[in-house]
Amino acid sequence: MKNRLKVLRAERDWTQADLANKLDVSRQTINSIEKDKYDPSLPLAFKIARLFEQPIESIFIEKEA
Amino acid sequence: MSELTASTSQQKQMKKSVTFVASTFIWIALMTFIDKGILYGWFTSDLQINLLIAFDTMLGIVVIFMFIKLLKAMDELQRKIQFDALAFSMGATIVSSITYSLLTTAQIVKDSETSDIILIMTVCYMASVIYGQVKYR
Repeated sequence: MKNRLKVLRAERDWTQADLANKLDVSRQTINSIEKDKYDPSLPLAFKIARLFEQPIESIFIEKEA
Repeated sequence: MSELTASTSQQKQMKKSVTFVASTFIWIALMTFIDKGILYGWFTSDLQINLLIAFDTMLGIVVIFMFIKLLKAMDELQRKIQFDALAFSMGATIVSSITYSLLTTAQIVKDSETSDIILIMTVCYMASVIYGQVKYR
């Protein structure tokens, strides 16, 4: 799964630590999601979508099979 | 407000981690004390030994529940790293125990010791947690 988390975060001038605090997760989690090493759970994905006020599918893009 | 909540929850997780490590240390230290005490005859009666063993076992059970609480307090990536490590260490322990048992039956090695199995489990768990931390850093 690809995502636009890094772009959205950069647009708001937030650091990984800022975003981690807002989402109540570790900075390591944000870094791993941004680098596509880890796919977040559905509740966390919804939390991210709510924070950026965007539909979930515009942030997380499924890789073509 | 949300930043305040986040930092509070991270502080809670840190507090639980410290309490868990401290309790584990006390449990292991007491276990070692009992073991050496029995070996070197530090205790005056069997009742003393039985009470200490019962207390240490209860402390061990408390440590198990503290670990479960700690896992629940972790964020989802940390929990995944811990679950992967637990799965790996459990698998490695089962495989090595069976291999050890077969080697003992074949009289290639001497009788297996419980401490060896605990050592294998601990080393596999620690190695897997470190691997996970490096992989997702």
